Amino acid sequence: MQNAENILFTITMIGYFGAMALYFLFVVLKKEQLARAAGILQGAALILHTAALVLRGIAAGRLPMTNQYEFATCFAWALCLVSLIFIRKYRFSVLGVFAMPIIFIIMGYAAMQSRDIKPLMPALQSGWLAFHVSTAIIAYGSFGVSAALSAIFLMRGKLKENGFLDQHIPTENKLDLIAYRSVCLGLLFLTLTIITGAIWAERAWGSYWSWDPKETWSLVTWIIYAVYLHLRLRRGWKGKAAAIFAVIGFVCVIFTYIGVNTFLPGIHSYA
Amino acid sequence: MKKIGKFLSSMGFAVTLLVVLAAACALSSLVEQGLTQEMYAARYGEGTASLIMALQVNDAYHSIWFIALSGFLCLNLILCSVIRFPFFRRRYRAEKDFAGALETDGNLGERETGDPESVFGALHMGTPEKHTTKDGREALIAGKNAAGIWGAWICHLGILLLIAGFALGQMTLKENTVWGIPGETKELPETGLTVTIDDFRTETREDGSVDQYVTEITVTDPVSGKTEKASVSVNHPASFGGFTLYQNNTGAAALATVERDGQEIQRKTLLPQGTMAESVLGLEDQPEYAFYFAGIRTMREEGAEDRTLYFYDLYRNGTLQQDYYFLGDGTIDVGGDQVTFSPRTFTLLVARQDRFAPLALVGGVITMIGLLMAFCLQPKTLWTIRGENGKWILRGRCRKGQALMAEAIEEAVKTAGTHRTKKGNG
Repeated sequence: MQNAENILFTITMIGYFGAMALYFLFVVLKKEQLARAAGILQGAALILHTAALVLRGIAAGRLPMTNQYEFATCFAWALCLVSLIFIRKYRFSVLGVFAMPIIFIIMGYAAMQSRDIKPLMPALQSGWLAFHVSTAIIAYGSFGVSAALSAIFLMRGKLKENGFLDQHIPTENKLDLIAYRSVCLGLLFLTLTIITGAIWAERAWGSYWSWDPKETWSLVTWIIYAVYLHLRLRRGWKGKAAAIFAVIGFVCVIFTYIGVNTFLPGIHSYA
Repeated sequence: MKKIGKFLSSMGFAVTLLVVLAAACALSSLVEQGLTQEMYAARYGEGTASLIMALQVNDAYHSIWFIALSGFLCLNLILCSVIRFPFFRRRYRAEKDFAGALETDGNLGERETGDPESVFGALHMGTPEKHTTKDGREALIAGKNAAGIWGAWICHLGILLLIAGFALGQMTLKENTVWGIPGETKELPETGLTVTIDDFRTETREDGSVDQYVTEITVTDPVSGKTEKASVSVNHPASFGGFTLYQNNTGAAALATVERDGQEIQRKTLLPQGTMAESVLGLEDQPEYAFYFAGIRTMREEGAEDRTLYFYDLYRNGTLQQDYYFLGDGTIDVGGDQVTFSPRTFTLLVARQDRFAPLALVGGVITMIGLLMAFCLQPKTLWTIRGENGKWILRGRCRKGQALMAEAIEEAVKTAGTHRTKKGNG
C-alpha cells in the first residue's frame, strides 16, 4: 500500500508542477484556455493527493498527520484546496501563479522527509491529535493563501500596464478583502489549534501551557495576525501595509512549522 | 488622569504591547530557559551570560518585565472592555434600528428592482418586514447577523479570562512529583496522600516500539483511611482529592539492600546521577561508608543484544575508595555487610492541582465564540423603498466587505431581471 501511496505522491507532484507551469504560461501567453487547463490539472492532482493521503491513513491505521512528512503533505493539500476554492469562487486564476509555487515547495520539503510509517509514541495516542493537527493544517493553508493574495496585491500596481492581467486580477479593494478573509479563516483555525493543543497538553503532560518553543511561536503568530486585524479595523490600515504584514505573518507561520523544529527543539520535536 | 485612562485603554497601546510581547516571546524562545549563569557563559560567553541573568531572560516568562507587560495588557483589556461596552451597545441598537436605516442611503449604493422579494431571497436575507418611511413611502427591510457586532467585545472578554485563569493558576499552582519502583509507598507532598506503586510496565508492540507506560497505583488518605486504586498512563491521568496524577517519566533505577547475617537491615531505591537524596546510599550502621549510583551505560556489539552496565562508587569519609560496575545484580561486601544492587525501572508521576485551569478553558472557548461571531456573523441590512415610478429602490449597509456585498447585490438584482441605476461605493 505504501508503494501505491509513493506512486500517487510522485504523480501528484508532477501534476502540481504541470499546473504551476500552465498558470505561468497562462500569464505569459495570455490564453484563457491555459488557465482552465491549469485549474483542471490542479483539481485532478488534488484528487490524487487526497487518494495518497487516504492510502497512507489506511496503511498507518490513523490520520496521516503525525510527522514532518505527513504534516507537510497535508499542509500542501490544504493550501491547494483553499487556493482552488478561492480561484473558483472569485474566478481568479492568477492566484494559481502565486499559490502553486508555495504548494510545490512544501511538497518538495515533504519529499525530502522520511516516509516510513511509524507507530505512534504514547503522547500522540489521543483523540485530540486529529482536531489539533487538522485545524493547524487549515490555519496554515489559509495563511498561505492570504500571503499569495497579498503578494499579488503588492505586484498589482506593476501589472496594471498589462491589460490582460489587469482583467484577470480582482480590484485592489477586492484583493485586500479576500486576503483579509483568508487571514480571518486562518486566525479562527489557529485559535482552535492552540485551544485543542492546550487541552491535549493538559491530558498528556499535565500542563496546558509550558512555553515550549512550538507553543510560543504559535502564540507569536497569533499575535502578529491579531495586530494585523487591529490595525486594519481600527486604523483603516489597509492595502500595501496590510499586504506586507500578511506576508511577514506567513514567514512567521513557516518558521513556526519548520524553523522551530529545526532550530529550537522542545516537547513538540516530533511535530 | 483622564488622559492616562484614555492612553491605557487605547488601541495604540494595545498594539504596542502585543508587538513587544510577541518580540519578547520570540527572543526568549531562542534562549534555553532555566540554565545557570555558568551554563550560559559556556554557551554565549561571560558578557552575554551576565546580560541574560540581569534581564532575567533565563526565566523570561516568569520575569518581572514579562509579568508587567501581561499586567498592562490585562489592564488595557479591562479598560477597553468597560469603556467600549456602551459603544458596542449603541452600535448593536443602531443595527437593529430599521426605521433609522430607512432614512439613510446605506453604504452599498442604490439600485432599482421590480422584484424585491427575490432579491432578498437570493441574498439569504430572510423575509423582509414591512415598514413605512417618515415621508410615508412603503418599504421592505431585512437585517441579519446583528449579534456579530458583539464578536470583538466577547473575544476580548475571553482573552481576559484566559490570561486571568493562567495567571491565577500559576500563582496557586501545586505541583509535586513522586517516583519509585513497584512495591514502594511514598508520600505525596502537600496533598496529605500516600501513593503505593503496585505495578509499573512498559507496554511494547511487536516491533519493539513503546506503546504505553502504565503505572498501577493505590492512593490512600491516611486521615480517612480511604483507599482508591487507579491506572495512570500517558494521556490518561487519574484524579484524587483535587489533584491529578500524570504519567511523566521513567528510567533506570537500582534497588539497594543491605543485609547482615542474612537479615535485611536497610533498603533504598537509587536514581543514577541524581541529587544526594536520590542517588546516595549511606550505610546506617557504618556511617563512614556511602555508595553513589554513578550511572548506566549501554554496550552495543554487532550481532549481540545490548547490554547495560550499572556503575556504583564506594566512598569512605567522603573519599572515593573504589568504583564497581555490574551487568545486572551485584553484591559488595562492606565491613561484613552485604550491599546488593538490583536494576529496576522507576516510574515518575507528577501530581498537579491547578484550580484555575477551568477558568482559562472557559476564556479560550469564549475567545473562540467571539472570533466566530466577529468573522462569521457580518451584520447586514437590506431595504427597498417604493419609488414614485412604482419600482423599488434598493439600498443596504454592511460593516465589512462592502465590495463583495455590493457585487452580490448586483448579481441578485440582475437575476431578478432589473437594471442598475447607481454603482455602490465599495
